[in-house]
Amino acid sequence: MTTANDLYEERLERILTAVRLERPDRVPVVPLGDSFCARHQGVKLSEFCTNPELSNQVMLKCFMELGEVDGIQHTNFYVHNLSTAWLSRLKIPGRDLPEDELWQVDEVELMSESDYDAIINDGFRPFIERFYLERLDNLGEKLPVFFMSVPSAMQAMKDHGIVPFSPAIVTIPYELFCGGRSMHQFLRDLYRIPDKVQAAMDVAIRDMIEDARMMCGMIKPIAAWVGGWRAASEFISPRHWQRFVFPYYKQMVEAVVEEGVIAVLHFDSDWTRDLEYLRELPAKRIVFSPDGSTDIFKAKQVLGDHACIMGDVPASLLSLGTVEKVEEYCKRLIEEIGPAGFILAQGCDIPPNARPENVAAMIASVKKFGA
Amino acid sequence: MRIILVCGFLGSGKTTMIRELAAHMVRAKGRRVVILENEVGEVGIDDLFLAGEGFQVKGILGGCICCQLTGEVTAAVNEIGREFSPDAVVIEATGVARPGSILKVLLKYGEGIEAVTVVDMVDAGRWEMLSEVVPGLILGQISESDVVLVNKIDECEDELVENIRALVAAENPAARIYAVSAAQGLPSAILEEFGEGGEQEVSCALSEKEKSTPEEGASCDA
Repeated sequence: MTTANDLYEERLERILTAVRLERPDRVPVVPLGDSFCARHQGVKLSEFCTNPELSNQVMLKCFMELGEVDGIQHTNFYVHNLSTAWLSRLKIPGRDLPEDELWQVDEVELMSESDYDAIINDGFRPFIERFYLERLDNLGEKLPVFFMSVPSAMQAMKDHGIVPFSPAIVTIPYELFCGGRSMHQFLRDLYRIPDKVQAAMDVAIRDMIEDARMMCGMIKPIAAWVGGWRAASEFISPRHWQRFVFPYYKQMVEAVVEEGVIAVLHFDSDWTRDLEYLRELPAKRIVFSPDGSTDIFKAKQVLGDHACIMGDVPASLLSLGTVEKVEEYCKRLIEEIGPAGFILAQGCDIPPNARPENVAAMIASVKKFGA
Repeated sequence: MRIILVCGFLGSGKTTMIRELAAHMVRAKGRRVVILENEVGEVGIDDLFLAGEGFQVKGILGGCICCQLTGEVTAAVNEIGREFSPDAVVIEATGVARPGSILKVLLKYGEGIEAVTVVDMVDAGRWEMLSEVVPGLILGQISESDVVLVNKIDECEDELVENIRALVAAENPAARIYAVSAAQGLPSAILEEFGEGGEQEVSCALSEKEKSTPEEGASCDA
């Protein structure tokens, strides 16, 4: 009889084989869905996003009902975590929004220009502790609920034979500062006071890497999300990207990999221009995960012998397309990006209004086309 | 149903332009107009003001989760079409959006759309900074638009405005370019262009867009 542990080992090996750029017995499928899972299970977003234990149960139940997944990217969801990656307040369903509306980042200027000086002179950690306390409504007090729930959430997935793939999330100073300053102020800073911004980034990245190492040591994840959204190549000039973005990703990814953890480059928007740079990151220890905006077929050409590729069924296809169109696109991905070195997933996150039959078709396609 | 998709970087004057345009379309032309807001950040349409003016305003979420919402604009447009049967839907895109990516989904899955016009607001006052730091975004928005409004010209020297006009024309030779100060009122030529139905002209634009819009998922032709 196949036990949950047998299934877990089989699925883990399938995923790791893909990351090593070898050909698994079939292409693995490792989705991510938070608000979608809540809607699918009839759980109010207000409850789902503030209760990490509940979110874990909801994700598991949702994906197990929709098919046979090899892993799930996140183990649970906690809305306040978004503030740590954005340095922004949030609009939360049930508190600031109707109970079943999607949470959103309230992107206003919380961080001032003088905060760069504070980081440079006093260090990043004292700054961020004060920032959480004074400007993010004592965020530090809210986070332990989530971190304490992660080990049991990972175990719950393993108990069902499902790989908890990438429960840890890290990013670079660019994303934090861009969120904290607001995008238009931050771009102004890059133009007017680039040296000061860079000096603050150089201080911040040291503590951010130390925190990432500590998190990897505590949670012992298989992979960690290294997130990027506003730092995308499509937004900023090559000169700015090469100075303020890539060197920091390189440091962060190398640190994560040194901890024995796979780095998932969860990169939203279009990074096509700079794909070549990603070849400087550790080979066969990274997963490039675009959201449907980057040319994934170009990514295969540039990174195919260097990085596993994960994605990228577009959110709009899942919400507005048909089962036939979803199958057609998945087949193309499996055949052209895979079958070696490829993990099938949605681009970014499954949207809340995705059609369940389309998500089920995506999951089923690896058995249909991926062996 | 006509779609007017208004893009442009954060703070470029989209909201000001939309308020004036919508007011003209409703008051002077008797059009039924719905505004769909999808902006990030603190600048946004004042729903209460517009409700007082008699427009329908619908908001959809912005912020970091726009990757989840690529289909949301189209779903909202379809819902608006069914619920209100408006003459026009004015969409305020997020300041970090490329209109092409919204159009790709809108043209593929949108219902009842007879014409689409893409308007880009270029912030002349911050041109130098934005074109140096985020040139891909700014030029991308210009190149994918039908109409480009070089805004905030009251904040700039005439020479700079002319330079910007020339650069815009070089980037998108087909675009209709106007230099404006939206806060002081839009020129009547612009209001008339949008106030009239313009279906014949923009329907052609729509079919051209359909031809040139890539299929779902990016592709590499190399």
